[in-house]
Amino acid sequence: MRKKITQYLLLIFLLFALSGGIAITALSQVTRDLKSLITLHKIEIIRQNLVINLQTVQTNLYTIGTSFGPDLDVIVDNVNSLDKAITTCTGCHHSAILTRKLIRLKRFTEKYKEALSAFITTTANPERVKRLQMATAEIGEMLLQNTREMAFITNQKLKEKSGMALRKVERIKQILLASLLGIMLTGGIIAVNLTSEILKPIRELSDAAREVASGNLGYTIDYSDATEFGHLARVFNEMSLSLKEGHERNMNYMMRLSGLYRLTLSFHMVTNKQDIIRELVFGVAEIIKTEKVLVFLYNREQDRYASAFPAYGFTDSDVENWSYEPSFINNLYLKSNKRSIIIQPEDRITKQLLFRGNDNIRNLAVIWLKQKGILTGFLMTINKEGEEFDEEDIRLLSVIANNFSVAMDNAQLYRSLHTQMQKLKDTQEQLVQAAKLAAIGELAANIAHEINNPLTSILGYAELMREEEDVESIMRDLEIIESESLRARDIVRQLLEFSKKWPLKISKVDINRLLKEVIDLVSLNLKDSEINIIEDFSQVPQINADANQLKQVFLNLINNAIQSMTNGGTLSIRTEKIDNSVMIEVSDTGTGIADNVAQKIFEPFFTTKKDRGTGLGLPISYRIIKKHEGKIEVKKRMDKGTTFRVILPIRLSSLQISP
Amino acid sequence: MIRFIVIATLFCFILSTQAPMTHAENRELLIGLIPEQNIFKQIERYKPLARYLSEKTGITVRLTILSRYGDIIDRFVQRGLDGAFFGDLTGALAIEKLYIEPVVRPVNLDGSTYSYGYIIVRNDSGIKTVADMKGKVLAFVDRATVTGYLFPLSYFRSHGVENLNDFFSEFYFTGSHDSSVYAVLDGRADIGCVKNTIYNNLVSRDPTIKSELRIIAKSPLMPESTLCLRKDLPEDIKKMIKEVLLTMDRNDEGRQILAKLQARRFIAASVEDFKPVYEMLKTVGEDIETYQYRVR
Repeated sequence: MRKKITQYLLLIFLLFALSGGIAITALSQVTRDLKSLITLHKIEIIRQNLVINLQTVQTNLYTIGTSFGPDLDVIVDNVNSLDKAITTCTGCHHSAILTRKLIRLKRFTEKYKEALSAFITTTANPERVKRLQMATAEIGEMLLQNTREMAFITNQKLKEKSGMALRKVERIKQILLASLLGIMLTGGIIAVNLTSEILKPIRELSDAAREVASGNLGYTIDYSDATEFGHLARVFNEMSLSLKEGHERNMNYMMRLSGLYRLTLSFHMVTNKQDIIRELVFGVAEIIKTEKVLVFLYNREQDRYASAFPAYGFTDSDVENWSYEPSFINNLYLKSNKRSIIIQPEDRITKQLLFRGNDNIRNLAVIWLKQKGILTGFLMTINKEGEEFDEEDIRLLSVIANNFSVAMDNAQLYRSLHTQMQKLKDTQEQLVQAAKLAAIGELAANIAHEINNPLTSILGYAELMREEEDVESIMRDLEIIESESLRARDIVRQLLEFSKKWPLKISKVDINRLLKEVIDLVSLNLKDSEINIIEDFSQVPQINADANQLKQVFLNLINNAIQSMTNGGTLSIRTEKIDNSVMIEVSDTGTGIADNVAQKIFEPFFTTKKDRGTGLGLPISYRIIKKHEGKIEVKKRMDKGTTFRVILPIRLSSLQISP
Repeated sequence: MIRFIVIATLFCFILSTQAPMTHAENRELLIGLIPEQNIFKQIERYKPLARYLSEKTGITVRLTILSRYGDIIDRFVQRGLDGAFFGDLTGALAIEKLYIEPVVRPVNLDGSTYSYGYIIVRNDSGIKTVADMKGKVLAFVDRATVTGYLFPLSYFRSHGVENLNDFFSEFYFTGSHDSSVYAVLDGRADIGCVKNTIYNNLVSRDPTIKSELRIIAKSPLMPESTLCLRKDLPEDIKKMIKEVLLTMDRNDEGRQILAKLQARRFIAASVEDFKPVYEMLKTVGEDIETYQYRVR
């Protein structure tokens, strides 16, 4: 472009020089003409002076006497000027006619000078002097006449030359104007051309840059020439292509990384060995883009490196019974310095590795699989798409191989953990069974004990009755027998109640009201006692529950609380909504529960009330709350009373609403 | 800077002291010329010399021509001339009547330092002796010249012509030597008088003249036109002018100007040079004091 600009500038410069040359030539021509005109005018002035001088001399000739005195100097000067004028004229270039006329004039002048001098200097008789004067005057007149004649010619010439000069000036003016216009036009064309030539590639470049900026990497422009813009376009194209290449490389890398991530994730998701192998071969085939992928793992039983299933690019039957001697593989492993290797089809090892189906092998890579530093197998990838394996591939494959090894380790660990878990579960079940048996045994013992007491009484009094004759005594014994029998019946009935599975009769229950009913029920028996009841009820929503069963629970809890406060105290009952549940707290200021007791209070037949309790109240309450998907817990405060907390869900998840 | 100021000041000082000197020399000398030949030619002949003198001396030298030889005596004081190139008789008259001194005179091209007069007739006139001249027309140059009047007069007298009016049909004064020659050549006179230098000059320009004319007589040697300057001119000026003129043959410009004057160089002139004039006056029985040099 610089060259072009230089050329254009040179062209403009040449045009200027040309027009300058034209102008100078024209000017010099005009100047020459003007000079010649000036000369002509000068000549005219000379001629006029000549005429004036001549006339003066002629006049002097008649007016002054012969003793001229200082006037003579004037005459001499005049005549000499006249002579000089004519000499000047004769010295110039003239036409032949004019030259002849001038020569004649010159001759006349000489004669005139002669005659004049003679007339001036001569002293003679008046006739001679007069004759001399006449002769001089005559020559003078002729001179005047000649001069006038010539004046006409010079005038003509002057006119002609003036006209010519004016015409020439006019023509030169036109030429100058035309050349100026021409230069302006050419300059304009050059400027427009140059601008468009500069702007076109700039526009193309900026468009292309915008394309590239908008993500169209690899966009190139067709502009090409030998200028700087051509060079810039080439550089731009190179840049665009290199950007595209870089972007593709990055994308490829990203894809590989994401493939690696996916594969790694899969490795940790699956626990099955075969699944891991499948993920490996398919994953490698996808990430590295190879036609075939195989995994060989060391089989301890066979003492061979046997192909694992599945393989990518092979059918199961293809790889069946495909295995290698450990010595061969170990040899290869050691020879490769324990590093993954890229093998070319022409290498001897290729044939040894691919003793079957080694046709169409373009390239091959072997990646060693190790677990805890010990070779456990290898991965074989065959025929990479498009290009050869490179260090990058090997690095990636090594990472995958490491992940594979970890996954295999994990699978193994998972399997052993699973086995352990199963064993633990079995043991636990056995333990539970034993505990159950123990519990039944204990229960049976408790039942036997509970029933045995009244039965012993009944049997004792029945024995006693046999020996009693007194009706009154017999009746008293009978009453005792009856009472003991009823007690036994109660025990059995409660036992039945415990073991019985009462279905829940669900309805909308206002807990606060339910609690009030229970309190009303018990408060009749508390008239004389010094137990103070505090009702701390919050606004709680209605819950889905079996009202009667809940009533039984709270009656039981409140009764227990009252019974623990034999010397009086405070019974507080509190309700509160907690999240989606209602919390009910029953607190007393009674004797409280010991630590070792707290663990057993929900077990059947456990009681601290030797005479009055059956040890089934709290277990039944526990069962009811559980059926309501709730929770019951005890907050033991030794010597400071006991608090039972019941939490019931507002809505039951399982539909236990019985008809 | 200081050095520059000092130099500039000195320069100004020198200029200011120089100025009055040049002003003193800036004067004019008016030199008269006698119409030895055609007045136009005469003045043209001397102009280069005047210019040369002006240049060399710094004094403006102007020339003025006189229509009569005799006028130079009458008008010298009247016109305020500072000097003049005098002829033989005019020179002697000037020395006698004016307060002047001879300065230089030319050496002719042939090396001679004097000139002499010729009496000429046309070849075809048939005049060979004075006797043949009877009744003819005679053209003298001027009464105030030896070669153009006194010599022919003495010559005619020595040949028995006592009264010019009786012997010649007419005689008149042409005022210049060449006019006398042309008068003879043109037939306006039968006998003419001319100084040899002028004659030679005319012949050199037109050799036919020599064959057309016959020289009847030749005068004794007379001093050539001598530059005389007023005695009361400052000595240094006179000295300077004399010096310039005497040495002008030593440079090209000077030699060219001398050539135009038909001279080789100038030599110093003295009153002694005019001795032949006095002798000639004696011959014709005239006295310089009383000589009627004016033409009537």
